[in-house]
Parts: sequence; C-alpha cells; structure tokens
Amino acid sequence: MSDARTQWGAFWVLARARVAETARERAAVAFLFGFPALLLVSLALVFAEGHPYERRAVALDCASPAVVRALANESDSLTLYPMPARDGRRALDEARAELLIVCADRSRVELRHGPRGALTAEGVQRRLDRAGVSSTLRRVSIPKRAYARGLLPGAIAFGALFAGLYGLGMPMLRLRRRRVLARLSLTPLRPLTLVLSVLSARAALTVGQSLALLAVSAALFQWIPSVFAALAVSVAVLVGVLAFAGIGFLLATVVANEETHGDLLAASATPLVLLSGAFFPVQEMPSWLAAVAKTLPSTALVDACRAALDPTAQTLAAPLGILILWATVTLALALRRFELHAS
Amino acid sequence: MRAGDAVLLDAVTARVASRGVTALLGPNGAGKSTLLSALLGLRPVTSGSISLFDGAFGPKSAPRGAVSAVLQDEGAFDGMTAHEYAALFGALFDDGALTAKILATSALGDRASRRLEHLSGGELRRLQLAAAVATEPALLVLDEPTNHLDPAARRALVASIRALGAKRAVLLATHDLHEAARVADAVIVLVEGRVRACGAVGALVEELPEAKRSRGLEGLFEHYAGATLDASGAMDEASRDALDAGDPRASA
Repeated sequence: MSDARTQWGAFWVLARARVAETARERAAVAFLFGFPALLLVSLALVFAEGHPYERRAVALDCASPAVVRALANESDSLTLYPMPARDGRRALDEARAELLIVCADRSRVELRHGPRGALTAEGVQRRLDRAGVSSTLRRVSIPKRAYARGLLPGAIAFGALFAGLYGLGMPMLRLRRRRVLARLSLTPLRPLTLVLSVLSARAALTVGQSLALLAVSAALFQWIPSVFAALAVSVAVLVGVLAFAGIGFLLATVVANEETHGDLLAASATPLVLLSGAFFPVQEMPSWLAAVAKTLPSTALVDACRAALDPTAQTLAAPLGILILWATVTLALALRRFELHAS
Repeated sequence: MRAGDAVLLDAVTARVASRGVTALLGPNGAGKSTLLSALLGLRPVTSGSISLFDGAFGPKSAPRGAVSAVLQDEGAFDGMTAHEYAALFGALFDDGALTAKILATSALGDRASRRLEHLSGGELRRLQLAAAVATEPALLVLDEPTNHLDPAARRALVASIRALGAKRAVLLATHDLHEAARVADAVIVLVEGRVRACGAVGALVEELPEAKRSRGLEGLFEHYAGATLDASGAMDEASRDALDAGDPRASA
C-alpha cells in the first residue's frame, strides 16, 4: 500500500468529518452563512445613500489638459481616479464615486452624477466654467443600496481573515491538549495531512460563505457577478484563508493553550483589520503607515477581493502574491515549530 | 530522562514479556506516563535506550501498527462521529474492513452515527481501545485507561484488557492495585522516577515476607515502594514523609 494513498484516504475522512461537523450544527450554519449576509444587508440599509464620511471621489475619463488643470486645484476636496467611462459608471453604481467626468472632446465635457453627487457636480461645473471649459450636467439613475457593493469585498475578506486566524491554530492546540495529536502520531498519519485536512475544510466552508454573500448581493442589490468574478473571489478567499491560518498556526507555536492563543489572535486581528484599507483608505494614511499597511495580508486580502469583484479597479496578481508569500512563510515556520506532544 | 534540570526518570531498567499484561504501578507523579511517552517515541530519551521486540526496533522505528496505545485522558475530535473515527483508522491502515471491525469490537454499531462527545466515557474508551487493537499490535500500551469510568465500565474494560494480553504484550499503567491484581501477569513498580521492582507477580509475591505475602499485589507494592496508595493514586502522608526522609523501606 502506498503512503500517498494512505494520506489521501485519511485526508478525505478528516476533511469530510470537519465539514460534516459544521453542517450538523444548525447554529454554526446559521452564523456561517446567515450572519454575514444579515450584516451586509443591514449595513447596506444604514448606508443606503452611500457612506457619509467617504471622501468625494471623481472618476475621470478625460485627457483634456484644461479639464485636468481646472480639477487639480480641487484636489484638496476631491480625489480623482482616472479610468475608462465604463469603469467610472460602475464606480458610480457601487457608490465608490460621486461623479463621473467624461470628455468626448474639449467642447463636450459631461458631468454624470447620481442624487448624492449633484452638489459635487455643480461645484465642479463652476470650476470648469471659470477655467473656460463648458460642461453639461447629466443625472443618471443609481441602484438603490449601492453601497452594499462597496461593502461586499470587505465583508468577504473579513470572513476569510477570521476563518483563517481561528481555523487552524486553535483546533491544533485543542487536539494537542486532548492528546489526540499524540495518539495520531502513533499511526501513519503525517502532521501535514492533518493540517491540510483542517485547512481544506475551513477553506471550503469560507469559500461557500463568500459565494453565499455573492448570491445575496445578486438577489437583493441587482449585482450579478460574472463567473470569472465568482471564481476570482473563491481563489482570493482560499489564499486568504491559507495566509491567516498560517499566522494563527504560527502564533499557536508560542503559546501553551487555547485561551492564551485567543488573546493573541484578538490582539493581532485589531491592527490587521484597522489597517486593511477597508475602514480608512491606505493612500490617506501617513506615508510610513501606508507602507506598513501595504505589506499586511489583511490589506492584500481586501485588495484581492476588490480586484476579484472589479477587475478593472486593480490587478489581482499583486495582492495574491503578497498573500501567497505570507501563507508560505507562516505555514512552513509553524509546521516546523509546532509540537504535537506538549512537553 | 530530564526536563530542564529536573530528573524525571533515573536508572530505569525493565523488560516486558511478549505475551501477557505487565502492570506499571506507581503513585501519581511517579513517572509512569513519562516512561510510556518515551517508550512510544513521544518524548526524547536524554540518556539510555529503549528497544522493542528483542532489540530489533527503537520507539520510532517499529513497523506500522506494531505498537499501539490508549493514552491517559485521551480525548477526541470535535464533532466527529464514532463511524468517522473508525473510518479514520480504516483509512490510515488502508483496510476497508477495519471500520466495521472497530465498531463491532467496541459494540457501538448501533451508535455509530453518534458524535464522540455524546458517547459515555466507557463507550469512548471502548472505541479507542478497539481502534488501538484493530491492527493486532504486538505491543499495546494503556495509560490509566480506566480513569473517570464508572465501576461497571471499569470492570468491562479490565476484562477486555485481560483478554487482550493473551495475544500480545500489554503494558498497563495504573495506580489502582485492585485493578492491576485482576489482570497483571508481571509488574514494574515505579516510585519517584525509579524502578523499585520488576518481574512476574507470582515470583515477586513469593519473595515477600509472610505478613505481606497474603495481601498479594498490595503487599508487594507496599514492600517494594515503601508506600501505600489511596483510591486516587496518591501516596498516604506517612509514606510520602518516609520517602522524603529517605526511609530504608523506600529503597527496598
């Protein structure tokens, strides 16, 4: 009998048992799938008109130097994001931008806005008038509860962040305390097989959670993601779970029990969440803090989820690369350091 | 064996026969679990050596399934059912029939879909024991397997251990002298990390003074360990004081 066959058989039994364990618990299923959806819907209703503290963002599809010069003076109150008109329209629909400026040519500058961006559009129009650029206002319809689309990447990312942080190190500590790891070390089971089974089950459940959120978003917010977006989100969540599971597992190597591990995870999660770019834009942070934030796996995960849902906004490869690096280093170190048998 | 500056086991020399039950006796903290952990390769030995099966193997090099164990206070996976637990061992030893065999041996066939945390302590221990012996190991190590069991479950488990010893070497760590008396063919008396006696029960009892001989294993333990144990496995205070003071009885 081959070792690979043995390991695969054990992996399959263990992974399936862990998924079944969650499926058997009604409360666990409700929290796993229902709570994030409920939270998303609630926040979408609370911020139905967009986030009140969001800085005024303008999508700009315009190469006209006169327009750019005129708006440059507004940079203290507006943030310009150059992008094609199609992507700009999506930014409007997702309440990520208040205004879309489209220049067909120098004589035809159009300021497209929804209800929330009317004042901003009028201010920009006055600025352009003073610069000698004529423009027209065009009010466009924006989907209701559009901000849900802006919240969705963060909701998916944080689901993966916490699933990873708590999903591997803590179960391994519990199994060690109960001497299950010591017992299994007397069998042909390899530690890597056990770790992969725990990870796979957790990742599968979290990917399911993310797809459920996409389904809720499609049903309630008329935002139907493409198959590519759903696949990209699944990949981002999978890699995100691996990266945070590695961090949680690595922290489990420096503590003796689950209680202390929980304290460490809580302490680690706070800066990871706050600096992730989901609450405060990374580009608005002091430069040194922004530099730190850009290297964090939480920032990479939020960016990866955003990129997965909106491929035109940013590339998926860079944040995925950061996550893969974190996953590789932390999991490798944790596997080397974790003691199966508490001394 | 050491842990930092502390000596956990010292001058331990013992042999276990290839058939029968050998009871590893000692009070709480004597080093029984430490010795078994070293034997199973779960802890490194800082000096000396352990060999299995007439010196053919070390603790970590024994053939797959040849050494098995039920560890002290061994727990279970969260949420796993008895069937899944049995299936894990079936997969690990690549034997499709093993799952059914474990469930049948543990008499849990009708409760196979129960989660392990919903089994009674006796049922869980039966399942763990069934999994441990399913591969027909040549050496079975049982570390305080009857801890926390009710009297009926204890009696049933002790009877199983007796039967298991007919086919293989069973090394049973316990502080329960009555339990050991029912199953042990041989004993190793361990006190404060040192072996005080090792050999067949009958031969060791024969060597006892007349007054202690009639008390069987209890007399044997008291003679060699210089101590008596209460039901929880703790040494009585007088024995502890005598040991601490280096009473000659303790080094018998």
